[in-house]
Amino acid sequence: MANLRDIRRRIKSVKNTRQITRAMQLVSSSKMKRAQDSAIAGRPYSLILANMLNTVSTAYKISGETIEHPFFQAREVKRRGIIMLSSDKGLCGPLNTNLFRLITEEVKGDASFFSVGKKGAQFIQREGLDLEVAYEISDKAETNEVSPLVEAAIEAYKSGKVDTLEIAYPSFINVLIQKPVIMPLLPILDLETLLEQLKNKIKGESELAIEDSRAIAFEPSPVEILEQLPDLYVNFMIYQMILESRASEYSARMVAMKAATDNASKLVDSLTLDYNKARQAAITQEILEIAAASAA
Amino acid sequence: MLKLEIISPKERVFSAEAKQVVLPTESGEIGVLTGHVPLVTQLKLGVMKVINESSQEVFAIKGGFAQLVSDKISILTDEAVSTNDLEASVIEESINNIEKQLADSESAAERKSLSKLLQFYQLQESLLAHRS
Repeated sequence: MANLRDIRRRIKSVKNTRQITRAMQLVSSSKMKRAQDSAIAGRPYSLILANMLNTVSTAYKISGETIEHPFFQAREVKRRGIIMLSSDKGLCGPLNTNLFRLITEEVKGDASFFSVGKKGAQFIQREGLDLEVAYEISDKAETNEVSPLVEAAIEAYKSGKVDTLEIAYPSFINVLIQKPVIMPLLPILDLETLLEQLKNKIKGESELAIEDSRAIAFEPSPVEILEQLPDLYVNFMIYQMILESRASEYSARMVAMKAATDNASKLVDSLTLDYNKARQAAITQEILEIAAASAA
Repeated sequence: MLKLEIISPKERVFSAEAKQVVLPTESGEIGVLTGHVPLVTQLKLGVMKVINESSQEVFAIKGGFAQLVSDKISILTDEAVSTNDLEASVIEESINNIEKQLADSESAAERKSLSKLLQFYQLQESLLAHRS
C-alpha cells in the first residue's frame, strides 16, 4: 500500500494541473467565439469575390481572348508552393499532427513551404523540407501582419520559383471537427468548383444574383479589372484561411483542455479512493496492534 | 427596386433596397437605376449615395469592386461607413494616429496603405463637415 503522504501529494499536484487546464479551456472558449465570428463574417465576402472573378473570367473567355494574367495560366508543376498554417502553441490535441501527416502523405515531389506558426516551422525543419520563409502572426491577425506573407508568396509564384500556390490548414467544420485540407489557390483554373464549395459552406447566408443574359459591361475595362481582382482574391483568401485556422486552433484547444480537465477529475477521484483505503488500512493496523498489545 | 448590399471582410455593412445608387468609379460617378445592364466595376475611394423616394443615405467607401446583376448590387470594399454613424472625435483621433504612424513608418508598402487610410478618414471628415 502506497505511502499516505505520497498519495496526498499526488492528489494536490493533479488538482493543480486541473486548475490550469480548466483555465486554459475557459480562455480558449472565449477566444474561439471571437475567432469563429470573424471567420464566419468573412465568408459572404469570399463568395461574392469568387463569383465576381468568375463573371469576369467567363466574360473574357466568351469574347475569345485568352487571359494574360499569370494567375490564370497553368504551368508544368515542377515545384509546389505550400502555405502552411499551424499554431504557435501546442496543447491543442491532434490539430497540428493531423496537418503534418496530411503534408507527409500528400506532398511527395519538390515543394517550398511558407510557414505560419512556430509548430509548422519546427516540423519543416525536423523533416528537412524546403522552408521558404516562416512567419508568426499574432492572435489578432491584423492585415498588416498578413501582407508580408501574401507578398512573398505571390512574388515566388510570379517569378516562377514555385508553380502552384496551395494552402494547407485545419479547416473549421465545427467545434469538435477540424479537418486538415490542402486547398489550391493558384493558378486559378476551376472557379466553378470553388464557388460550389463556398456556397455549400455558407448555406443560405448569402445568395448570389440570378443569371442575366445581357452582356456585361466593365468599367473601366475587363483588362484593368483583371489586373486588380486576382490579387485581391489571393490576398483575401489567405487572410480568410488564417482566420479559419485560428478558429480551428482554439476549438481544438478547448476540446483538448476539456478532456484533460475531465481526466484530471477522474484521477483525483481514484486517488482519493486509494488514499481513503490506505488511511483505513493504517487505522485497522493500529487497532490490531493495540489489541494485540493489550492481549499480551 | 435595386437590392443593395455592402460587404467588407469584417462584416455586412449595409443591406437594403434602393431606388438609385451612385457609385464612385475610376472614371467618374455611375448612377444605377433598375434595369441597368450587368456591370462589374472598380470603385475608388469616395462617396457612395443610396437614394430612395424621400431619403438618401451617404457612405464613405475605401475603394473596392461592385457587381451588378439583375438589379442586385454587391459591393466589396475594405471599409465603408455611413455618414449617419460618423463621429468627429473618433475621426480626429484616427487621423492623428495614422499621421503619427506615417511619420514613423519606413516601408513603402506600409506608407501606401497608411496614406490610403488617411485619405479615407479625411473624406469622412469632410463629409461630416458637410452634414452639419
